[in-house]
Amino acid sequence: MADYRRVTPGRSQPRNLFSVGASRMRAVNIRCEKVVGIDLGTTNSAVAAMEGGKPTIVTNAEGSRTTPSVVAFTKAGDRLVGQIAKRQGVVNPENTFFSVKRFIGRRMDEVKEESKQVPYQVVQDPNGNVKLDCPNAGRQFAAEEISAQVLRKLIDDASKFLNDKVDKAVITVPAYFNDSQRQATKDSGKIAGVEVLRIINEPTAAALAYGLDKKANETILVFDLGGGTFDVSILEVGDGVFEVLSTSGDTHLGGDDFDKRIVDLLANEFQQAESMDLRNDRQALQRLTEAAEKAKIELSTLPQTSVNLPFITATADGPKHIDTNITKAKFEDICSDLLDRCRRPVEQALKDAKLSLSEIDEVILVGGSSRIPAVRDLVQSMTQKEPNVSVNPDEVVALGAAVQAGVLAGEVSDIVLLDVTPLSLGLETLGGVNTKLITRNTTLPTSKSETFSTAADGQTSVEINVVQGEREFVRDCKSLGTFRLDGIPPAPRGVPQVEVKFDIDANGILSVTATDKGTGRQQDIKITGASTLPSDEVDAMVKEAEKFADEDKAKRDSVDTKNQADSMVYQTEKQLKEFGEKIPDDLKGKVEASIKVLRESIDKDDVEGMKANMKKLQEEAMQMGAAMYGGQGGPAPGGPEGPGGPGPQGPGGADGKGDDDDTVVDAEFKDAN
Amino acid sequence: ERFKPLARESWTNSPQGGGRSTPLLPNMKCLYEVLGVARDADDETIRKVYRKQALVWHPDKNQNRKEEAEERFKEIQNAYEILSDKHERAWYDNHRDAILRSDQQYQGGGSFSGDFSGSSARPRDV
Repeated sequence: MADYRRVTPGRSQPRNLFSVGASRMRAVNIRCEKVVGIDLGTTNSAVAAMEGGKPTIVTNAEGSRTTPSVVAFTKAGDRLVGQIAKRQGVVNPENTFFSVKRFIGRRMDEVKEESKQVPYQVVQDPNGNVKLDCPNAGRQFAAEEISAQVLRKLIDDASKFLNDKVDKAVITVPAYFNDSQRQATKDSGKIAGVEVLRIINEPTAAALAYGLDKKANETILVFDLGGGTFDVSILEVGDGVFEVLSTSGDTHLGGDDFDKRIVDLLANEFQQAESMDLRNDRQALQRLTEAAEKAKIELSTLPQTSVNLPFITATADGPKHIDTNITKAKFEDICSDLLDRCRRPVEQALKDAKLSLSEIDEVILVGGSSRIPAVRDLVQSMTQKEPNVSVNPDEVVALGAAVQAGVLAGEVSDIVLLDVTPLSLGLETLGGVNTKLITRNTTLPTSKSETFSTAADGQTSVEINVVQGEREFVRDCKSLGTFRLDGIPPAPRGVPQVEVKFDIDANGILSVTATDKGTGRQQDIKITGASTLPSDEVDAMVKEAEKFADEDKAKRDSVDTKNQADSMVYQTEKQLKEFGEKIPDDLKGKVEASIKVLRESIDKDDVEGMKANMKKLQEEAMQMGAAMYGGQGGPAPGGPEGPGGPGPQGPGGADGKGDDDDTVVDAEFKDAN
Repeated sequence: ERFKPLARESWTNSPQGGGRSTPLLPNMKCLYEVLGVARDADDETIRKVYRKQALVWHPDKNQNRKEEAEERFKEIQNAYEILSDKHERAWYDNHRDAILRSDQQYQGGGSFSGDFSGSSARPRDV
């Protein structure tokens, strides 16, 4: 199992390319595979798959339709993911990682504010990238690794739900994510052992799910205010074509910021009364944050809510509590600037799409924070339209990702998504100027070329610095990579002609080629993202994640075996009790002895012992069954019933001992039970 | 080594008859032909035809011949971008013969590369 996860070569090939050979190799190993759509959210994640031509949400192992994007490491060294991790956040704030999407693919200098708002330690690595310190694990993690743990759980739960192998996915990101954030998300998938077929934009995904059954032409505006990011996209939908006209957003604005306002309100009030800043106490901060989120959610339906936090801290005078009320009006007042920040991206998106508000047919609200009444009011007053509430804002993005997964897998034939590049791409020219070749909102795939020349007399080489961003100067944009074209024959400046061609494929991967028109000399670069992780580091993380996965598998195996052993002990004892008199005493003694031994191995948590003893008991149980029915001489109707109970279980356990990694077959066998 | 940024070539100073890279298309095709519409097609027709073509030629719909599809789709997209824009289309219509005589691909946004002399007269969109 671990073997074919490693098929993507790390060093020899550009990282984004999943070779054709690799996918063929997989096909041999797997009977049938599903491609799922994953909404990897800041606070919650969701998975969906195409079922009978319709995108369907996959429930997780706990039975929920969304999974908190939280990973925790306990003192005992256990890794917890999802609801179970979220639940213990208050008592383990330094080792509980949430909202890591705010840090993925970021450099430390880009997230100074955010890093102060979380109770875990955010540190800078020697390259200036963000790392998360985990005392319990005794090491630092990249945000990619934490996200990979979430992805791994989502995929595992999905394969259980779908009863199918899942190792390919379409993952969504905020439309306004830059190249390195997208690349980092892909790296997360790789670390989790998932082949990421495509990264698509969240609002676009929402539109796909919304427009799937619509026949008429519509121009729609998607207003997506999530946990940590804000996106606006305008699409034209018709004849099965989903054409993104424009997209805009703010990658530093989301529900977390609204929570933070409530935290500050509570902490400031407390500080005034007690001259103590609760924000310096990690555990208190975590409790405040949770209470703030709860209050915010309640204020979506109630005019007022109360916040009750007994024993929030203690002073020399004794324990201190928070017991206060927050009104909706107060909440809207302290968040008014956040609400204002939602305006500009809407205006920008309209401007870029060259549309006026009257030309928008539908406004779709996406993301949990779009439930805030003040946000709805804002959208309504800005657009003069009643927002469409027919989609579930928590699920629609995953559903749309599943639709795109269906398109890529060839399951969905009559739909195509024409997505755009959210940020302009250009190169550095004289004076540090960003000269854009591909402007934002250009439909992908695309190629554009332009001719440039040298800046100095006799210059024989040029350095091409590829940048992403809207600002006029390169220093304000993100550099994606540089390369050099040399061997230009010496000539006065302005004479040589260098043609630079930018190519973006449907996956959003940019290739840049520079050609000296005089000599025909060519140099190119494939921008596989200004990744915050070097590829060998990603490979190391992949290996480590596989180790984690193996550990998980071993743990799972041990739990399963224990359950089997328990139930076998119970079943056999029950039979002994019920049919005891029909069983010869020597056999009865043997069975009782075997039960005792099996019990001991259960108590010792000895997996191999349990397996061996189960096998032994199994054989004796068969003899017992034969003895029970032997006396009656009519084995036909009763025969399969008696020993049949533990029958399939026995070989299942014994089979596991073979350890051929053939878990697919194993699982099938157990399901038949 | 000293960092040497590229200087943007100023079109008016562009030397004529310099070396030329291989054209992107072997033979320059008319944008109307690329999209498959008549030269007097109205906006609605252009949009309809573009959508039909996109469904056929987008690389996502052609997993078995991605590269060919990508090239075709880019041509279709480029043609649509120009023909769906009133100003771009008018400019293309006025200069169509000259563009077709040269063997370079005409791309939207006015950044027409090559030594087609007419381009110097056209300021870049800001």
